[in-house]
Amino acid sequence: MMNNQSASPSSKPNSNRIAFKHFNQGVQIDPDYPKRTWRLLKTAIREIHRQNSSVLSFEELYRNAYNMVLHKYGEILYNKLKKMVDKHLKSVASNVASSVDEYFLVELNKSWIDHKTSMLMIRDILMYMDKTFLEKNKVPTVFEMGLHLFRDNIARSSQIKDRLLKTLLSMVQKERAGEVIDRILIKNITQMLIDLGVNSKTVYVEDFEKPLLSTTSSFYQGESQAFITTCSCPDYMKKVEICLKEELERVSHYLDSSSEVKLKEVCERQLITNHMKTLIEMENSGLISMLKDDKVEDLKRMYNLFNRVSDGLNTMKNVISEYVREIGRDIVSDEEKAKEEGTYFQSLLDLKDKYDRLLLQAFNNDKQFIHSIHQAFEYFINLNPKSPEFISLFIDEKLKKGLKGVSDEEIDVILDKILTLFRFIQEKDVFEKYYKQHLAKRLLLGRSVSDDAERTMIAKLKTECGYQFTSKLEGMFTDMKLSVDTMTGFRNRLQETKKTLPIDLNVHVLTTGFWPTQNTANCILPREILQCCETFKSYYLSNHNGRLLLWQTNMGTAEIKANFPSKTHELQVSSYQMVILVHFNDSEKLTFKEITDLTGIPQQDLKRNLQALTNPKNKILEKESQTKTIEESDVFSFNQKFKSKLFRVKVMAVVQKETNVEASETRQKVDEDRKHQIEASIVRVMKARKTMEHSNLVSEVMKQLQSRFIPNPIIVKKRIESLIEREYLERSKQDRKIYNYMA
Amino acid sequence: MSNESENDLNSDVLRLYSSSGHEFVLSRKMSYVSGTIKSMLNADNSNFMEDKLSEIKFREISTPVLEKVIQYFYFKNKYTNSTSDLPEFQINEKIVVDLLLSAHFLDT
Repeated sequence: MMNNQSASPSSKPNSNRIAFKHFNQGVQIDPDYPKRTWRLLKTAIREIHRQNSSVLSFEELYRNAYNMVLHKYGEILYNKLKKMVDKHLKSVASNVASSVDEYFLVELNKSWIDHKTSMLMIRDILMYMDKTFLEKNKVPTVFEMGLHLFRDNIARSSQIKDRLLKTLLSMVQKERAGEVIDRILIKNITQMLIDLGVNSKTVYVEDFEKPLLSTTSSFYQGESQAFITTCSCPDYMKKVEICLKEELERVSHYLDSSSEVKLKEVCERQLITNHMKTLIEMENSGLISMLKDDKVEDLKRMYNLFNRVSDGLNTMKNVISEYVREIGRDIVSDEEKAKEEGTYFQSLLDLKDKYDRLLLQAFNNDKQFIHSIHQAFEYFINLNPKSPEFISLFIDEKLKKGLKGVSDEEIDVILDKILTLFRFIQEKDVFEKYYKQHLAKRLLLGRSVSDDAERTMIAKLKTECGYQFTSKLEGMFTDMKLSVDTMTGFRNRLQETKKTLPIDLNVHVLTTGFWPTQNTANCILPREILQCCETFKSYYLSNHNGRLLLWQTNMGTAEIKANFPSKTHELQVSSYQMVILVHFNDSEKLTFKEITDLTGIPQQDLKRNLQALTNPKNKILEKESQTKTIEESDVFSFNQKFKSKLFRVKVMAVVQKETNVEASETRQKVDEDRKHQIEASIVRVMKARKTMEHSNLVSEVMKQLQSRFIPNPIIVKKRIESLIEREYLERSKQDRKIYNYMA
Repeated sequence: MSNESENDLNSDVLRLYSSSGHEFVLSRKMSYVSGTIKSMLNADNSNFMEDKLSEIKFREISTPVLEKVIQYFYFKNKYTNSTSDLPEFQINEKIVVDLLLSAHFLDT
């Protein structure tokens, strides 16, 4: 149409009307006009069907069709055309149907292409009809009509429809079996089916896709059954990967892209979903054995395959989690018997390492997986009530000797790993207790390898658990530093006053509360030492008036000179050992009983230290009986035959394993501490809320304390009761379940 | 379309005949302003006589009208997508009606 307003003659409506009238009248006189014109067009269309269009004049045909429609014969033209194409296609159909199998598709494709071409030509000729007549009468365009007719007469005719489907499916089947097929031909045919649906894909879906999906489904059902009985799990998965890849290629080669999702789903259901359980549980090659043997590739494959189907990862995740729990439980309960804290923890770390690696390499760091594995770890680590102690012992071990000659970065890595496990521990307060004890020993006995490593560890704990958790630990470090200053001050004073002490005294002043409180059962110190202590005490108290100074003899160390017949040695011993040995200056032989009386060392510690002194490696004392353990009836004497290559002899303190009594003591202490923490938490909550319902209060308290330990609701309840007794809280008069805060 | 004009520049010549046999020679491309002519010549897989011979005989269009139509083709081609001001397209009043009918016929 002329869209140029200024140039368009349509700006003169008057003359238009007159012209049309005149034009119409001129032709309507001839009653034969439509018939004649149709005859002309009919011959032309016949020529087009014969692919003989070059003899035709488009202008002539177009003009005739144009005039026919203009004179309201459009309907006649449309219907006649429809009838004619219909008839033509019927003959084409029988032609296609009679072709032999190999050429069936080729023939069909050819007739389809021809039909398309002719319909396009007819459409062009009848362009004017498409434009005006159809719009008014709401019938499909000429080309669409052609598609409908082709669909009904050929693609869905009884002779062709089933045969077409069968041929197509057999082609697909052949390709699955490895034969080469004419992909382009099939592509054309499927495209034809899509085109025949006009604007939807119903024809393609109904006539081809659905049956294809169902045959695919049954095909892979059979295949997968065969695979799964003959192959190991990894092999099966490899096969599945190949099958899925092939099917996808198939889609891109000759199916419509909309089939991809459906086809994939069918294949996945048959190949994966239906066999998920079998695959996972397959003996010697299933999921568990893959985990056992670190088959990263296979695990990755499994992850990717199972990721495709719903619930696949879930199933996998559950099995893994179950397995990890089982292994963890084994470690936790088994190593407990062995009592080898180091290996216990090392194996947990190894386990964690292994699964971290698997998560990264095979499971794409899937959040679900990470979470479930973490849960599994949390589960079994907390199964063993000694885990907090073991972690602390492990760190102790590392900081004492494990980190020698290791760079800072590596230390960092190791500590980080330990922390990841630490996170799983629920009873963090128990850990704190042990850590404090171990740290105290490291600091006082000067066993720590690197001060930096200690500080990094504490910094890490701080970021993990907050300031409160480490404040006391940091206090311990401050004490150590202050002690150094105090000692320099003390020495200066000694020089000023020209006093000399019989021994070189080094004192650590420790703040009560920061350090693990030890039972201060004091031993009886030798006179010389006592004198030194008194000197220091008077110096210290002159500086810090009003403080109470107590001696922790169980934590000190001493260096003493011992004259053996062979050689003079310097012995590095603990304070207790020193006290014991000093008594052998006076007497040759002492019974256990005598030593106890002379030194006043608690029996438990005395036994431990005597053990160290009679240790075959550094046999400083001779024991008369040959038993390994120290009995109360034993008699000890100075070992005259002692020999050692080294001048300085370090008497190893017997590794202090926590005895049951001590363990329960620690436990009690922890429980006592918890009581206070729970009460503090209750008061905090109530102060903020004023009134609160019982269960809400309990859950709020639990939430607050979670980071340190999981409180038992019963204990919380007891604490609430105790607070009511002490009139911090009261029960509401209306409702006994509600508490009020009493300021 | 651009393909075609590149491939055979020689055949980019189109002859149009009026009802009285007057011959007009123009570029094919210009004629595509008319939907009818475009499908006559350019339908992908048909080849009617017109396409083969590169000539179209319009039995119902008179010489002056056809001339005006061709003028319009060039006018349209020149000013489509141009930013300059649009001059008026002059039309002789006598042929207005026929021109309108032809424009309809030619789908212009």
